[in-house]
Amino acid sequence: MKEKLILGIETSCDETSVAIVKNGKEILSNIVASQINIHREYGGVVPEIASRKHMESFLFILKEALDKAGISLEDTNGIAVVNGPGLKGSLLVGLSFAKAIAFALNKPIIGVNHIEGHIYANFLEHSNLKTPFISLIVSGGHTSLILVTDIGRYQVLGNTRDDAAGEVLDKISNFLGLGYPGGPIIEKLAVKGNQNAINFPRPLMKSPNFEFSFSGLKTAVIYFIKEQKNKNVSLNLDDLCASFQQAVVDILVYKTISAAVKYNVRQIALGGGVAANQKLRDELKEKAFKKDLEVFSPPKELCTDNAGMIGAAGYYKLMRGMVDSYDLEVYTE
Amino acid sequence: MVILGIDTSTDILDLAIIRNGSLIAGYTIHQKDITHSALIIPALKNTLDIVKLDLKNIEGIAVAIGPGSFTGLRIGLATALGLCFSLKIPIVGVNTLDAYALQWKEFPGLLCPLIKARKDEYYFALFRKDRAEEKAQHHLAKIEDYQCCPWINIQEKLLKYGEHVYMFGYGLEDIVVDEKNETIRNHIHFVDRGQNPPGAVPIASLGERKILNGRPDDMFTLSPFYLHRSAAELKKRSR
Repeated sequence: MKEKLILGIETSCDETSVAIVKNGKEILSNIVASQINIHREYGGVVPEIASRKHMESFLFILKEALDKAGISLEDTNGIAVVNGPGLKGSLLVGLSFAKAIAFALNKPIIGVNHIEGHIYANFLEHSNLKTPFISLIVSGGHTSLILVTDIGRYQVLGNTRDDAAGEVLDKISNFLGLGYPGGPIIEKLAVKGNQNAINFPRPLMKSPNFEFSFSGLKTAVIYFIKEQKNKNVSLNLDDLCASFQQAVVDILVYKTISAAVKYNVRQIALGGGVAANQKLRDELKEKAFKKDLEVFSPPKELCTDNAGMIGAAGYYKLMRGMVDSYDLEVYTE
Repeated sequence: MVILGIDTSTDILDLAIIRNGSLIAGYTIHQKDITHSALIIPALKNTLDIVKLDLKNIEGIAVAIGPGSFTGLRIGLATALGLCFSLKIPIVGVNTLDAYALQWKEFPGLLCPLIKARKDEYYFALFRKDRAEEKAQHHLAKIEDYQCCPWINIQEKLLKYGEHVYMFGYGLEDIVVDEKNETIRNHIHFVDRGQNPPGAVPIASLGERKILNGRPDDMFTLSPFYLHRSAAELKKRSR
């Protein structure tokens, strides 16, 4: 097979990332510049600051990605860029660079959906993942169950009605004054705690559809914390985090396995920042095994936003002729 | 020398291609429902096609860096940087108010380019034709630095000079002038109220001069001239 190099670009939120991916499988470079330390001071991502930082960093990151891969822009066979969903101003920086590069060098431009990118992170690691499969994408911005019927063909089975799973982890962490992002902080404390200590609700878990809802859980946790404070009972943070995390994991695992069973597929692919949570990875694998289902998850560094996954998705779409024109637009949701 | 000028500082998308200082092609669209992002590359492609130029014929790009719409500036600059980096040609960032002022430099008085920012606030600066520097590249001396404030404050600053002031720029149709005030009526003149001059031609000319003088900008450090910090930063600093 002739070698195909894809330049991947991801600027949908607060990470500026450029990658060079060979044949949809091999990452030659995947540079990620996170703005997390800047946004931490504000307790979350500030859109205007994120856009400004993307603008400042982009060429440095592009050059680093090319240098590390040891190639020049001319050597690439296509430009893959996230054009949504995400923050409008941030997406526009990446898309404007991508279209200019594609036009200047006469390369195809391939718009990639951010969630689609998270799904394809799995193809970078697992060659035996084959369509159709169920994908659970969980992050600070998304909680989606998707039936992947073919390359580039998706049926969204359900999203969250309110907060994303990663968002409630952030909000609870913020409420407890533990910092941002909340996921890794809560996971660390939860390891030392008892997950059965507090019985938090699991909203919509057994509902007949594949929609999620986490705001009720968030309210219950906040209410519990306030109640303990009012009673002057000291809070066992480890137990609280373990019980809260368990509720989130239970909902995600139950829904995902139900979807695989209902749609009669044998494989499940995880993705998104929350997919780096070890508890979620372990429990999903364990419960899936009992139903004879196979679970794939990307390596942890490919769970959070990165351009490598976009380059991978771009390759598979390019091979199917799914390319875009220069009037490609961004979309926020 | 063939130079591409890009101005996306306002709702107007404006492109110009000049050769040795003279305009050979231009493209101007003022439509709020068509985004700069969707239009800029197709517009450039069409413009080049019509005058039978190849992108490879472009020897440098000059781009408006602001002040203006934050998102618009980023689309223009990211596009210009993407093209320049790929084609290995020089880039020049041009202040949008400088470019506007240059278009009306023959007026006998103070030149006041304005760009509507938000609510009743305008970006502006004040220039005067500078005889001593006639031979220099700008021909204009800046006597009020780039700033952003409500029209009422700008009016006060302009009157202080006691000279004729010529105003032009983007969004001037929203300015309410006190017509009963004789001083204002006699000193403040709208050159093109409501006409919104696009800036790509003067931007390309300024860019060409800088490139010919061997002073293009560094691609890696060229940034939009926002003038304003982001709202979140301001809020944090005021705490």
